[in-house]
Amino acid sequence: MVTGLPVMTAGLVHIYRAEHHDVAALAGVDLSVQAGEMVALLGPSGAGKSTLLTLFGGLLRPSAGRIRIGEHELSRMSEADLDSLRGREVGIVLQGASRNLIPHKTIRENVAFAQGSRARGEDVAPVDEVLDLVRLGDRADEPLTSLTPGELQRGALAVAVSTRPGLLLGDEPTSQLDHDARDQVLQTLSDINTRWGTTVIVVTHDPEVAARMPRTVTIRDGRVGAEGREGEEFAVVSADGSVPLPPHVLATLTPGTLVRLVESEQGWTLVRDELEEVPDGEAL
Amino acid sequence: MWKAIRYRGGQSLVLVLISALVATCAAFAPLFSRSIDQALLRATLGRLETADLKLSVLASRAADATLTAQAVEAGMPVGLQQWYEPGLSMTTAESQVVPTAGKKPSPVRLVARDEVCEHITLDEGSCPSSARDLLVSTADAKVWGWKPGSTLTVPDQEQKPIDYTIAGTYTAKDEPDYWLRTEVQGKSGNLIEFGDLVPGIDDFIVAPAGLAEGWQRAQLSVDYRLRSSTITLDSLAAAGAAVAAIRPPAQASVGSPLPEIAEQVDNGQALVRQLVPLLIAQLVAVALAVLVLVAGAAVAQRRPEIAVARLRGRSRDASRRLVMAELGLTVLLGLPLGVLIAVGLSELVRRLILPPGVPFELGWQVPAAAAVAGVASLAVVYAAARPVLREPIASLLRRVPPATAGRSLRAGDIILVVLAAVGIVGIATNQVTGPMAILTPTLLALAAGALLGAVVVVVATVIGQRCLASGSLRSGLAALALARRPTTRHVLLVVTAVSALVVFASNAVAVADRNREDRAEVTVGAFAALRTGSKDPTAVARVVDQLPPGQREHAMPVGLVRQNDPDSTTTLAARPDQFRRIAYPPASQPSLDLGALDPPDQKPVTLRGERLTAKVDYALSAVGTGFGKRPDDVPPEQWTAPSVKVKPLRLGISVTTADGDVLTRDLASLPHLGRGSLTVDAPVLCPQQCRLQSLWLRLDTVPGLEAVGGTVDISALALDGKDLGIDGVGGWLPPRGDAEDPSGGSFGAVIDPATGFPVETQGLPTDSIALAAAPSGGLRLTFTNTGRVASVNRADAPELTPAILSGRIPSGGTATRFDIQSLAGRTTSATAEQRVAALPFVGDRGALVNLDLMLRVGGTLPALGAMEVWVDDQFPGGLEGAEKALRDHGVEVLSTRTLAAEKRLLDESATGWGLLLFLFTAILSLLLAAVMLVVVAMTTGRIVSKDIAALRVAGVSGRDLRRATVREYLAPVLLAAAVGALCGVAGAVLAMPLIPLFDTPAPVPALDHSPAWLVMAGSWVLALLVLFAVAAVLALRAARRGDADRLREAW
Repeated sequence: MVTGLPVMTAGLVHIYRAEHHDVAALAGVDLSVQAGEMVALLGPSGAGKSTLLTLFGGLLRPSAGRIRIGEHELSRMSEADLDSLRGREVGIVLQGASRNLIPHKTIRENVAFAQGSRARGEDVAPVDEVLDLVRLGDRADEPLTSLTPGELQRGALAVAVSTRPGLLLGDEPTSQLDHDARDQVLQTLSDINTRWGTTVIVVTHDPEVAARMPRTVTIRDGRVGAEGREGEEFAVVSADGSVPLPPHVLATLTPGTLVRLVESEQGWTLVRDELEEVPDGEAL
Repeated sequence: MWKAIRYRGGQSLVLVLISALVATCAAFAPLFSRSIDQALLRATLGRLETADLKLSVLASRAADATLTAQAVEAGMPVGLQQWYEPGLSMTTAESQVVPTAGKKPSPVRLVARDEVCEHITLDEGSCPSSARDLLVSTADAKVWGWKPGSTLTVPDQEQKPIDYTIAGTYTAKDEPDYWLRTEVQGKSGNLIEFGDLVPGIDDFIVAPAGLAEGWQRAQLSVDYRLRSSTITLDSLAAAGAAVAAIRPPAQASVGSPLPEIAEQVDNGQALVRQLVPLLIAQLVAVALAVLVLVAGAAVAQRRPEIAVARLRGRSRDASRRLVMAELGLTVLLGLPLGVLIAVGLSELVRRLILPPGVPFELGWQVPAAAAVAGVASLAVVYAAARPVLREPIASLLRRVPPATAGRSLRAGDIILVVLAAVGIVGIATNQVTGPMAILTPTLLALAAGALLGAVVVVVATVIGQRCLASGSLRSGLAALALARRPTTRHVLLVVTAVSALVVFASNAVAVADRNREDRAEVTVGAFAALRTGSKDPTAVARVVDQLPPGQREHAMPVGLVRQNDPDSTTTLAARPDQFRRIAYPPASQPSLDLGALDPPDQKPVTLRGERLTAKVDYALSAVGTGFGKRPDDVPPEQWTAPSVKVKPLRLGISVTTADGDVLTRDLASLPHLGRGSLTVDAPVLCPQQCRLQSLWLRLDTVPGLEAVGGTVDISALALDGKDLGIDGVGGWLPPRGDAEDPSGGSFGAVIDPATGFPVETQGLPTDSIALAAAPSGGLRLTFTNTGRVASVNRADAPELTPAILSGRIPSGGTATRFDIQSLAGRTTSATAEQRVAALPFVGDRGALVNLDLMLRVGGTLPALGAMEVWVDDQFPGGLEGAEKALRDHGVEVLSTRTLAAEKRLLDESATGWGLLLFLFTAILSLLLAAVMLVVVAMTTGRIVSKDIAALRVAGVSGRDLRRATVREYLAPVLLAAAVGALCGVAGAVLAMPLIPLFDTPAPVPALDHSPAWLVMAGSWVLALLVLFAVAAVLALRAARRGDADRLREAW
């Protein structure tokens, strides 16, 4: 039985340094994911969700802020420790199944290859168990070129979880898949989470995928813009006290609008300066 | 691992092939080098006859009276048998024999030689069986009437007569491998000098017992014939050591050619060791450069796999091991293949190019070289993988690899430029020779290719944009694609280097071949030269003149007379018109002014008769008297001038005989004072025929004491009553103003004939002579003569023989007057009408003269003279035809020289074979370039196809895309090939003079390093066509694969 790893970020900033200009992909992300949670990271293109996932995998080092995966403070880990972390505790599925697989190996061989980084004697899941988990037991020895996109994507998942990691990171794991294949992949993610308690964080654009995830985190402009729990959307108060408003609210409360915070029995209410109450439907 | 290798089968195959090529180059170098070394030895051995290769042990019984040839042989080391046949013992003793009663004794040699009876034909009798038996030659038996059974008395070296019984008569078989230049026959019938001229007698052959005892000055020898096939480079040293270890008895001497052969081979080996590694090094450098590109492409293709490995927790080292295991194994797979190819090539060279007998050897150097090649290839793969493996994982995960600084010069490029600059400056200032000279063209090309790569990337972008702006879609797309592809620089670099190498190598081979041809031509003189046994130039010339039409035009008689001193000038007599057609003067020097050698139009006057008659009118007077000068310390009253009895003025002619002898004939004696006339009637004494050379006069006195002046008119010169028609002045050369000492030498002080001491004389009139028409007809000689010969020569032969002189002026002469040998071997004055560096056959020590002119003077060739017949390549039947033609006309042909044989001799040399490696280099480098184009196409094919697919989707027509792709592939090849050709030409001009073209340099003909433009152009075009064909096929393939499905490809 695997215990999922909690993930926590605080003030996470990442800046891509280009030749003539810098781009701030993340501008202070504060996020906490509990062990065994399944989280979807949502947001428009360029919002920073894939960067956030890459930082969780230790593939990039943050420009500022902290990331903690279980007991590991990623920003303080050496390259070798990060390699070890990915080899043991964090499984990563990159966007596009082919990028996760060695093309001349079968799924079984890919799984075995992924387990190869574990020291001899370490507890790894039997290959067949992993293959059964992703429902590829009967296709595991076929050449990759003969597999369907859905099978390939599940193969990528199998490779990522072959070491029974505490954290599974997936970047668009269902992109370019048909409905059935997407459902199978989502089911597989769910099964992994259920069987091993693995914490699952996936980046997706697909609303249906998001709807199937217990928790969603929307990244907007490099920050956590909102969260959804069981289908209900929430604004998130960040560590500096700011609350990013959703776009449709921003259409009403344009930047520069003065608002009041009015405390009531239901909590805090946002009121325009003209004492004009915000319509009910738009209450946060 | 095998699965990984098989997955990219094409790429793996290319890697294996290139690695194999690297190994081929590396392993071929020692194989080829060793084969050439062995071939040098074989060629050297093959050129020598058995007699030249023998090991001779010579001893004399004078040092040990009991010594026998068998004893000498018994003292030889047993180990010699490995390399030598069993020894052939021979004992010889000099004696004399009276061939027949009343004759003077003739020298004779007694010979006892092992197995002699097996190598002679016994015409009569039997082999000598006892110590007192001997064989005489059949020729001698016939001359002297010697019969088997009769007795010959031969004194031993103590002059004690020994009676020998003639056991039989013999004729030696023509078996040079047995006789080893021991001439037992050939003396019979010839007169030889033995105190007096006596008839020569062939050797007497006796049984070994016949000379076993006594004969205190007998010469003993043991000849060992070399088993040539057992001599290899390794055994040569061992055999040499064994020979050196011989400790012969009794001051015997040991002679062996092995040390000299070893030295020759050593010299060749030194050149081979210089040429082969350098040429191969260039090829290996190009091969490694291609391997770098291929390995780089292979590693780049494995970026996603490296990324996956890192993603799954593999460290950098572990990822490196994965890459090196796959690519390293692939590269190592090429090693055995490369060695096999090298062995195959070496075998081809051994069978097709090198002389027979070169052994196949696989020395330790071959696996060592292969191992070095393997290590170098692995190092290249490691170096290619290293930067990728050092990339952060995030970079590895990017779908498009980060762009490198494509527009700037890299450190390697700068190093190349610096090295090339150093090489060029070094050559230009004569500071660089040998290795660097050979490397410079390649370095120059690599530097040019690197610079070209940096420039093209920038320029192609600009051109592409302008073309697109102006509507030239195909060119624009091609130019922009070129600018984008990282492989463009690779293609430019390698194709530039290969193109330069092809051009330079083809030029080197052609220039070397041309120089060998030139040298062979000068060495032989013509297509073929047949040395005759005749010493009669006129006879040989007549034979050539009498050859039937069709043969006559292709042959020329040539007279050669050299002197003892090998550095002296050799006379080369030939007919200018034939010489112009048939002889091979060096091509690199100005054409010969053969017209200057033409003889005068005046025909020779031939005297064939008994008596010469003429009418002579004279008017003579003394010019000055008293001719002694009183010494200062002698009072006048005591002074008496020396008295000399004046003799008459002699008038005569000089004639030359057919043998070239110059004879003088007195015609008349004239009183030295007074006037008168007389009729000459003198014998000519030319039983066969003579040529009238000159008319002369001389006061018959001690030169310098008296003088006579006046005129002598000569008319009605007739031979046996027949007018000779030589009374006209025009048939004579204008006489020189001075005169000669009758002895031909000069003189200084005047000698008083009474005392024998020099006397101081008063000033005498100067000798002079002038020729004019006599008023009454005939010739008038107006002269002042003091006793020296004053002559007027016939105009059929100039006083100074016109010559074309090669090399330096003969010692003691000037350009306008120097001495040469006439065909009779006499010193003759000549003048240089032209001076050149070299003449055919005689090289830089010769004087070319007109054969017909020399024949007018006549002469029989001296011992060091020879008549040859030179033929051109059109002579019917070639050399054999010429030999037959001469033999049919009774001219013996002693030996022949041919251009082909001489050229082959030069070709079969260390430099000849070594320079062939240039061809190998050019062909293999071209192959490498073609492979590189394939590799580039394979590694960029997917991207190119996707680009094409994208453009197709964007609406560009298939035809435009095809043409744009073809231009994209062909343009860099053409550009780099052009720049490479320029580098090759520059290298040819700069470096060719520094490359050794001959094992043994010769002063003439001067080496001709001028570029072989046609060969260079031809090889360049050929290389370009090959690369164009490959590039075009690859371009069309890429264009064909660029359909829309490519855009969806995952792998």
